[in-house]
Amino acid sequence: MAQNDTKSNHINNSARLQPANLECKNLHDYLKTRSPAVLERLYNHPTICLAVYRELPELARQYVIRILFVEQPVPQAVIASWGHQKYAKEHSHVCNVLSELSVWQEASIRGGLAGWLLSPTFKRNLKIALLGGGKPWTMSSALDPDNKARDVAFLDAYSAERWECVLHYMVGSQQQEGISADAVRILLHAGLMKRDEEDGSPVITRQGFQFLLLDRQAQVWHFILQYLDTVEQRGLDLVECLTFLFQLSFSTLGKDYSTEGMSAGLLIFLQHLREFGLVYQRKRKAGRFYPTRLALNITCLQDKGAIVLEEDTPKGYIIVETNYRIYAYTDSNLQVALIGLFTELLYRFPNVVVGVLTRDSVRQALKGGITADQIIGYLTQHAHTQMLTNETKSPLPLTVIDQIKLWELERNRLVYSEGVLYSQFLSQADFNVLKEYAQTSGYLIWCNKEKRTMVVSKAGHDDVKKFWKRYSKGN
Amino acid sequence: MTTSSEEILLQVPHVRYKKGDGTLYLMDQRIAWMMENRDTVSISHHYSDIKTQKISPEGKAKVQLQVVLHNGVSSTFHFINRNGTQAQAADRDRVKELLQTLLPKFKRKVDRELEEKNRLLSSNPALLQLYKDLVMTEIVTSEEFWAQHASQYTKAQNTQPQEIGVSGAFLADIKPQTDGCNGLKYNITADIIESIFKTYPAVKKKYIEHVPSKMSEAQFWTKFFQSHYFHRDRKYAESKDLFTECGKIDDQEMKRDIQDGVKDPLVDITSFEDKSLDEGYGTEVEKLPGTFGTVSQAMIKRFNQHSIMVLKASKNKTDQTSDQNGLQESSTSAKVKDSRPEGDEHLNKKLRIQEKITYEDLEISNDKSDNSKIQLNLSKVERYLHGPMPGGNVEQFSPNEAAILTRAVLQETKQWQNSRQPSNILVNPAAAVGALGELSPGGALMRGFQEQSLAQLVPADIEKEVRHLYLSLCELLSHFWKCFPPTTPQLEQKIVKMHEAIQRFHAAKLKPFEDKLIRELSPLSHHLTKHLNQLLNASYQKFNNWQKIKNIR
Amino acid sequence: MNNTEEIIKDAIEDVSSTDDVSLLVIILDTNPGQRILRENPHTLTQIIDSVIAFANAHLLQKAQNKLVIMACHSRASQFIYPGLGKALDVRQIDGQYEAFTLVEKTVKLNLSKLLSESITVSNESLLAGAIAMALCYIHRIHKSKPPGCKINSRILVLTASGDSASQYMNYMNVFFTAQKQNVVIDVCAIDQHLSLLQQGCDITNGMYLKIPQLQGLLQYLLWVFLPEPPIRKKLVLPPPVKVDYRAACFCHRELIDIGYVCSVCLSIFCKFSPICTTCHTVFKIPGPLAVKSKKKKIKL
Repeated sequence: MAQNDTKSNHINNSARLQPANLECKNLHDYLKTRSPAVLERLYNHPTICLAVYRELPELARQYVIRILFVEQPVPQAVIASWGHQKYAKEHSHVCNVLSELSVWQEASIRGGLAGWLLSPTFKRNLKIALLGGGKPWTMSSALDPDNKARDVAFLDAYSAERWECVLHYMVGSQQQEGISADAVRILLHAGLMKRDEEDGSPVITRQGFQFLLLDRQAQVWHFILQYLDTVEQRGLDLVECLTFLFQLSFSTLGKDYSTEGMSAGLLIFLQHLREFGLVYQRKRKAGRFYPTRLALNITCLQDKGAIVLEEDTPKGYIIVETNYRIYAYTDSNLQVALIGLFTELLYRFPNVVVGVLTRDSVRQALKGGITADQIIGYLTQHAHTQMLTNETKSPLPLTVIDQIKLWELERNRLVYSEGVLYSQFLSQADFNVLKEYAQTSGYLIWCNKEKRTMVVSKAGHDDVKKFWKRYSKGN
Repeated sequence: MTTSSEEILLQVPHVRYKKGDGTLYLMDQRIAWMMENRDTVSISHHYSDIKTQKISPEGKAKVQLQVVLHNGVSSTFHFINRNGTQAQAADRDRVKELLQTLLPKFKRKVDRELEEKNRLLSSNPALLQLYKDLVMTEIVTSEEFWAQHASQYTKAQNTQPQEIGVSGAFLADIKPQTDGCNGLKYNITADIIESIFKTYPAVKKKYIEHVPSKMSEAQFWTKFFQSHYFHRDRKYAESKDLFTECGKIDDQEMKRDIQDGVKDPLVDITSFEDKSLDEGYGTEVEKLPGTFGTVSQAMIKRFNQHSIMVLKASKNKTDQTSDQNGLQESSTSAKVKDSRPEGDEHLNKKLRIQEKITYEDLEISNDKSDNSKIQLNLSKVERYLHGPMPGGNVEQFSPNEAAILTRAVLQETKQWQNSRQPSNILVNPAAAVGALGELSPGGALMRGFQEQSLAQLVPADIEKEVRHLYLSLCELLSHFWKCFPPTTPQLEQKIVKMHEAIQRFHAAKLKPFEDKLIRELSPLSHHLTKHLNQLLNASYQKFNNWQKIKNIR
Repeated sequence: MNNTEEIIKDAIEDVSSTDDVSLLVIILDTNPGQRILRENPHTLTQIIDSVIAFANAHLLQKAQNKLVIMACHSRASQFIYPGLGKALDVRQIDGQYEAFTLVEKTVKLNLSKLLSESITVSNESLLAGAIAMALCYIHRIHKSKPPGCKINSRILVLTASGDSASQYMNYMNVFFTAQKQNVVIDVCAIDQHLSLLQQGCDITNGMYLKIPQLQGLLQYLLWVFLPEPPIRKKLVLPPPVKVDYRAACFCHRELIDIGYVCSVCLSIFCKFSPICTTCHTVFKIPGPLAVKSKKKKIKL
């Protein structure tokens, strides 16, 4: 019997036409990639435990809080019985997440039952965060009242200005000054910008455009993650920085905090954060700083839709009509430029820009690597309050949403998958056996009975090959 | 066995059946064979029992004919005419041909019955289930089933369906299809033709005159749809054709109708003017003479006429039936109506309008006499405000007591300023584990959870099965209980029969189901069939009692 | 491989669908006349600490969760968190999250102020009034929220006092108002069973729990009342018991299954009387057979 698999050809699919899109990790994804040792060190800080807890899935939060005061391991079966049978899938997912993050560990109980036990470090520090005890956080030394206290409005204006500075720099608007070489380095590192081949000046990449369309919080989080990647090169301690970052995220807006007792490394970190507008400091050596809205709840990526109850959040400015017209009440060049990414601009007035979504304009954006969801997300997130007044429906006209999605689907008529070709079977029976096996294992991508040809996914190739060897030996 | 009333259609001698020679008879109801020199029929099959007939192929030594019955039994006849194979084949063919003409007649009858039953079963899922459960498991026989259990279904079939009137839109519903080359194709069914005839007697008259003597049916309808008559309200085609006369007849009819008048005073069929609704509400549109008259008038006239025709079509039917009763009611009533004085009609109209514009529930009662209303005097109103609990455990404190209480609490608050209690006092681990045990399913505070979810625990298919069991058992039981008190011997017989059926049901359906339950979901096996068993036992007990009494008697 | 990923994705979507703002109003019965406080004033600290820890656990769930705590007395009810006026300036003293420290400090400060000011007159607390205040607060928040924002509101009542018959009408009014406004009322009975408030829970789809022992109060609270209504359906929580909706007769104030209802004023009696004591309607004295004509048997 001829060795079919030796003749199998690797379909060359390395030239993936789908470009790498901007990958936006949330805290969970980020921590998953850290080693357990780092996690253990991180969990020594109540702030991080707090942040991790908040990012857990709903059900996981309930599980953790239920066993927070229990000192002994709880049988896994008991925990499984807390959820309804209908949601068993979710339960197993949740258990997975908790194990992945080392929030709990498996422990055996008398009688051979498997149980879960909260990580002692995590438990202790979450309790501290919730109920008190332990050491105060680094930044909360007592302070005399600031004689030049800054109010929330000032901080908002300041942070917006700082952050937009970065964004403006990315799109190459006129405001070139005010951004440090350090920030540029991070932008380059994150792949949001790249050096132009001719003159070496940084230009924005497709990921950069996608970045621009994210909401502000996601932008900050993504940017900070990229920054954290470089933190160790700068000689700073990752855990220390992360802890401080989360402390910042749990601070109160409009309140001043002391820099007393901060290490030299942290002071450098603080200066970087100051540059991006996450904190406000009047002078480098002022001894106090104010966190801004950008720093607050930095990890809240999951709930994009949730609108904070506070009245002073920035208002949306875009009105989308069912006839695909877009009215953007803004005078910011940046926002105009962003809208221009996927619309055909018609008129420009001092306070409003009118554009229209056309197939061409949207396809242009899609070609640039922006996804339909990003466009829709941007429009939704900046929708004018008038668009939000009808409660139940989506703020955007459904026709427009559907059409944008359809325009995207138009482009995705081909799906690429890597695979291995099996051909020249000696008999139909052989072919059938192998096809059957590949199909039931879920590796089969394509097959043709007449030509006795099949394509197996790359992941399944080894398995199928093994099976074939076993099978042909048996014959 | 043959009765004199039976007509013998064909008699073929020299037919051998199972080594006996005899004569084959084809009668109007059955096929029969009689042994030679005997006078009793040994083989007799009703045509309705015969499924098919088969003949031996040409060129075979034996010339044979076989009839196969519905129940699978077959009889083979061997033709042995001494005049040779030719004659034998001729004999056989005569029989075959006659059978061929006879069988379908009977077959249809059987088929229709079967078809009817099939249709009944497929349109009533509950009945089908019952059929599956009772007949297929041989708890009751098929005949019994149809006679007793499905009687209300079959009965419903037999009642005369209500006469369906003519849809007002029947003409508009005939949708022409373009045939691709500048023509239109109308599909008309027998129903539509019936409707057309009903509503347009003039057309019917024409049809009788012309079809099929002068033209074919298809031609007639083509002409009809092409005619100006059909397209009357459209403005083109003023040609003369076969239906021009119809228009005139219709006009006359219409006039007569208008003269007769319509009983409903709110309908004005003499008015052919196009009026918008807001006229008469203070706005007066001056008539533009002649411009919009013809087309819209014709249209209104046509609509009115069509409506009259449609109404009449259904009325004719009732008139006919009353005519059949031998009463010339229609004519007499017409006379009565004619002779009714003018004032009466006026009154009638008034009444009718009154009826339309007054709403009973909006009327204020006119009984002025009962004006003195009784004032409702309530005392102890506060009793309404009390809750459904034996109240009165409220204690009032004297200032002294209150001061003591407040002081004690304040003492407590003083301690808050100093320090908070450590968390392990807040909830000690033992208490936490205790609460965990109580609140986990099965714990003290979760009582009631199990019973409640019992319903959720039953898989859907089991639930369905239980429902089917109930359906069949209730059907059987209802027949069983209906026999009591047994006044006639037939009823007594039926009781015994039903009892047997119930027992068969118990053994064939319920027992296996219970076994399955125990195997598959033991915890609730008895809950599910408990009630079914109760029902069964009740009927058994009743039966035993009845038998005991009967034996004593 | 693909499959499991999809499952997880599904699960995530399912979870994030409950990402609305959650507003929790805790009504705490702080009447010193309650039996358990009279017997041992120290339990107040235990209860307050548990409630604060529970409230903080609520804030811990999501950054945008909102919290209100009210104290309910025999004569008045008051908001104790967020307090009136400017928030306290709190500096961290230990590793606790600053916002949590703020809650704790504010609650304790305001509560001791309230306790020192108010006079206790009876062991009956004005819970219905407090719930009404909470509903007003929730209504105000709903009115002033930015468009497009969804708020799940609920009220948790913690009390150790008993049912109070005199507030019956007020209770029913607030329960049905809450039901209409989609506000869930949860009740945690600390000392005794509360049949009226239990009805309120039943009406508004809330949870009712009579805790078996004060020791693990916080654990019970976290377990039963922390999950928001949207995720309660995913958890196995104490099942709703059959709530007793029987009416009490007007004559003896006893719960009855079957009684006599006056056809004029709908008063309920456990025994037949020829004259209705509420509206003074005279009923014909029933003959042995004519009984049915003038009285109606009702089943409640």
